[in-house]
Amino acid sequence: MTTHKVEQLIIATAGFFWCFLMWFSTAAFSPSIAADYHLNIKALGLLASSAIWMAPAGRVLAGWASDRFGAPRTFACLLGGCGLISIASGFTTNYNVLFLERILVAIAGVSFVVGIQHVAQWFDAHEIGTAEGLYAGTGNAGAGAGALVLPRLFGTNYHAAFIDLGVVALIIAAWYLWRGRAATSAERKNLVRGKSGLRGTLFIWSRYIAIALMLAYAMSFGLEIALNAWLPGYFMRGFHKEILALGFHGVAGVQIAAGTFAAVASFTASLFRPFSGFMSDLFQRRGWAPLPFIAKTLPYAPRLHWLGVSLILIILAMSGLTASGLSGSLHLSVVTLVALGIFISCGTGGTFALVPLLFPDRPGSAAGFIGGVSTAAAIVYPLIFSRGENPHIGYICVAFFMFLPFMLFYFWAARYERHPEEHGLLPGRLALDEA
Amino acid sequence: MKPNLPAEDVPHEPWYKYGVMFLFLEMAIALAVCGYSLYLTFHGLGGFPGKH
Repeated sequence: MTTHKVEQLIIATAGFFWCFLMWFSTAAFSPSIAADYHLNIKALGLLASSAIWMAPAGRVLAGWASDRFGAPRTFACLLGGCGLISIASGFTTNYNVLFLERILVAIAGVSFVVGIQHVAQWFDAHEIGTAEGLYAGTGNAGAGAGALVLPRLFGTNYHAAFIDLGVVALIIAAWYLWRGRAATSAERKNLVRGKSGLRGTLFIWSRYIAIALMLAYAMSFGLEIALNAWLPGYFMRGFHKEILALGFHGVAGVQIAAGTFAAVASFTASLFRPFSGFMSDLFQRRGWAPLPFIAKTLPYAPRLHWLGVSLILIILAMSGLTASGLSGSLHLSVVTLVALGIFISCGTGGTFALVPLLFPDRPGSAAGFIGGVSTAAAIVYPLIFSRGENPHIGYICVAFFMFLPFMLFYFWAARYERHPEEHGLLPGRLALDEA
Repeated sequence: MKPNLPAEDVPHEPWYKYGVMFLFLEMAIALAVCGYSLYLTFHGLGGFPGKH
């Protein structure tokens, strides 16, 4: 059966889009679930946070599985398993069982790294940024689409929504198995499979450049997830008077305005992501390498520089968010937030334009480590944002005490002019045995 | 600005042009939705489309 890489990109993107839709469908219906089961605010918070629980460890495992068994089988298993549990949750009438089932459905969120591995196995180095960006950015939009479309389509009938989402997931799983191909050639597939052992995983986890990329992703995607949860509360607390002055009344009115300001960051961060991959390709094509310290002669050096530029922009925008907040200008804060959303997408797209090039023989394991462990950062940032009396100060604290060291480590790890992936914490011999 | 390596002059396949068009479409959608919802909110008319 013949296929084309664009078909593989479309299959992976459709699968990822649907997985994200399922992942965030619980949040879209949380008011209805809370009303049905009379949940208090604490139980609602627990339900909302449960979506992220499986991501760090699950992504690491999924990345390894996609190298070992191939992306189509791994993705089909994820879609099929989560789809069946989603259908079951549509018939559940006990809240404890429903809670458990929705945690299991949230495993769909780990599919990100499987698709990254799949796309990496099909696209060439000069176009990998745009291809990975299109996959990840379009798929990420599934979360926003779910929030906008599902409540309109199903109203408060979350039972029907969970069943329908599950049925479509089973159809996509069958499509993935039928048309999906793990790699451009059997040799390529077997090479990746042969390097997917424990030593290969240890090799990835101990590389300085892999750790630097993981921290860069924590600065971008980790921040994106943290802001999704944090920003509505921030606007309600930090700009309450200004929102009332716009004409909103009561808790519900302020909540709508605060939610809208928060949503623009999430929306731009998702939909600008393909643009970042395109920019990475553009840096590469033009040979731009403007930053000091970072390698300039590596075949993919300009892509390292694009990510470096993105990290600087994120730090500047975070500092700007504190400055805008302290100035008391709601308009300026929202504009800065839109800029931060775009710069976050530069970081996410820039990171995964590099991962397949740095670890071509272990794209799944590398994506699992970088895309998985970094999500744990989403738990830390809101804790820092919420410390202290002034809600605006937290951004600059995170920027200076966390992001600046992360960025300096990235510059340090990306300075090697030859094979940066050979430098790491474990003895070189172990690394070279596997490399 | 430019490093000591040749810029990549690899010709792109036809799909790439459509891929870039699609990503610009996605960016336009993002900006339009943000602009519209911010306009509504700053005028006290409602929030993200539909949440009036």
